[in-house]
Amino acid sequence: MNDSTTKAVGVRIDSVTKRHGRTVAVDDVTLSIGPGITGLLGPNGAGKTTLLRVMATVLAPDSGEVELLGHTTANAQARELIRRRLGYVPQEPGFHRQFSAFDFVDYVAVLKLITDRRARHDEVRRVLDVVGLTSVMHKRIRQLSGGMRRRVAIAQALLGTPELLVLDEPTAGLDPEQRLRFRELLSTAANGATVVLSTHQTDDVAALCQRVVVMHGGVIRYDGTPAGLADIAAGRVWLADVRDPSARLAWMTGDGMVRHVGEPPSNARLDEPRVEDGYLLLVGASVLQESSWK
Amino acid sequence: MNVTHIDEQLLVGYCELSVTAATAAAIEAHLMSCASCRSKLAGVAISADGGFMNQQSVWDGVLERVDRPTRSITERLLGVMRVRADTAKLLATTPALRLAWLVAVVFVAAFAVASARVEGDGPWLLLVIAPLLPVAGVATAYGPALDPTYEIGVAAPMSGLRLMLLRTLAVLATTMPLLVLAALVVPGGGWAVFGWVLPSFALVAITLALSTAIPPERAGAVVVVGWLVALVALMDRDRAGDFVDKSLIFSSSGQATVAVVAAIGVAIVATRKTCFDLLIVSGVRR
Repeated sequence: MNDSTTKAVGVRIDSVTKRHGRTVAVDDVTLSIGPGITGLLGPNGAGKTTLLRVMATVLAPDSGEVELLGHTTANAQARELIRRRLGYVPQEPGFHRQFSAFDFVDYVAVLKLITDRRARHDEVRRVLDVVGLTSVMHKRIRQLSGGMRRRVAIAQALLGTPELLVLDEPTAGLDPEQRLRFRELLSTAANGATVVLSTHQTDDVAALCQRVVVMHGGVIRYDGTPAGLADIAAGRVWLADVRDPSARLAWMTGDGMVRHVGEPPSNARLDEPRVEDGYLLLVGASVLQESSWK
Repeated sequence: MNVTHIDEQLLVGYCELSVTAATAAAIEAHLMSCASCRSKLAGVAISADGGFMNQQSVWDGVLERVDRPTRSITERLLGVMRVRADTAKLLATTPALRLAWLVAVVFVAAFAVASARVEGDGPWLLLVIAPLLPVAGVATAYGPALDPTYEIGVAAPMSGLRLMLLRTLAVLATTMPLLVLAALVVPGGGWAVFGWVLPSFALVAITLALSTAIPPERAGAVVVVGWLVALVALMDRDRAGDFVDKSLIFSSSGQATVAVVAAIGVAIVATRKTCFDLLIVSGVRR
C-alpha cells in the first residue's frame, strides 16, 4: 500500500473482532472511513462504543487489523504517531474536581505532548474559543452546565487540529438548542478531518452525516448515505385515521393521523420515509422499544 | 501635492529604539498628522527583547500575562522544587500529593511509632505497615476507577508508563521521607528499623507489574494481602526474640530475596510497558 492511498482513508478496519468475556461486542467488522462526518447508529449494546474505542486506539482487537491515518495500531510506536493526530471524546468523559475548563484542556494538552507553555496556552484558548467557552474558561467545571461540560470535552478533542476525530455520543444530554450548536460547531471544526461519531439520534445523522453506519449485535447492518437509510422504508410508511394492528410500529402524530411503519395494506396512504423509519426496520421494533424508553 | 511618508526601514528603527532622539521626534510629529503612516506602524510592534512580532502575537502575549490560569498550590510547590510546569500539571492530580494523603501517612506512621513507645515491643508495627503506604499511593495514582480523565489520557500520545512512573515517583517522594522520619524516632534502634525500605520498593514494583494486567487498585489490594500472608507464613517460630527476630523477611537473607522480588517486578514492568497504553475494561487490561 502506498502513502497516497492510505492518506485518504482515516480508518481502515479489516475483519475486526472484539470480545468482552463471552459477549462478542464487535463481530468480524470490515469498514473503511474517509474524510467527512460518519455517523455510527445503533441501539445500546450494539458494539458502537467498543468499535469507537478500537478506532481511538485505546482497545486492541482480539483479531483482525486496524489501520488509522495510514498506521497500524498493532505496535506502540505507530500508535503514538496516530495519537498525535487523534481527537477523542469518550462516552462519559470525567473531570478532576479542582479543574477549571482551562486547567482541564491544558492538562490534556500536556498529555498531547504540547510542551511549550506559551504555545500550549494559546492552543487551549483557541479550542475553548471554538466551542464558545472563552467567557467561562476559568470557572470550575463542576460549576458549568451539562451542555458546557460536553463542550469542554469536545474542546480537548480539537487540540492540535486532529485529522481523526472519534466522538462517542457527543450529543447525549444536550438540549435541542445545544444540539443545533453542536452541529454547527462540528461542521466547522471538522473541516477536512475524518470524523466518526456515535449517536442514538437519527435526526443528528440526517442533519450532520454524509455517511451512516448502522450497527446491531456487533455487526454492520447498513452502510451508506442517510437518504439511502430512509429509502429502506420507502413504500413501508403510511398514514391512516385508525391504528392498523399489522404495522410493526404505529403512533399518533401531531396532526391527529396515525403513522405506521411495516408492510402497508394495498390501499394505504403512503408517507415520505425518514431516516428513523429505515433504522427501525433494520434493527427491529423490539430493539427500538428497549432502547428508546430508557 | 507630494507628501513624504516614513519608509518602513525607519519605522523599524523607531520601533527598535535605534534612531536618534531627533529622528524619533520627527517621526512622531509626522505620525500625528498621517493616518497612513500610523497604520503602517500598527503592523510593526516591538517585543520585550527587541525582536519584531506581529500584532497577533503581541496580543497573545498580553493574554498570556493577563489571562494565565492560576496554578494550584501543589503545582506552585512543585515549581519551587524546579519541577517543569507541564510535569507539575501531570502530577498535580495525583492523590498522593494532596494534603489529605500526607495527613493520612503522618497519622499512620505516628500511630506505629506511638504504639512502639507505649507498648515497648519494638518497631514491628512500623515494619509491617510502612511498605503498604507507598503501595496505597501507587494503586490510587492512575486508573479507570480513580482518575476521571483516564480514558482521554490513554488515547493521548504521552506514554501510559511514563505517566504511571511519574506519579509513582511522586508517591515515593512524599511518602518515603515521612516514613524515614518515623523510623528515626521509633524505639528499637539499629538498622532493623529500616527493614521496611526494601519491601516498600518491592511491593511498589509488584503493584506496577500487576497493573499491566489488572486495574492498579486491585493490584494494590492483591499486594497488601500478599504482604500480610508472607509476613505470617515466613516466620521461624523456633528462633528466640520478638516478631522482627523471628521473621525471615527482615533477616539479611530475607532482605536479599526481597531485593530480587523488586528486580523481578521491574523486569515485568519493562517487558510489558506498552500494556499501560491500553484501556482497562471491566477489570481487565485489553
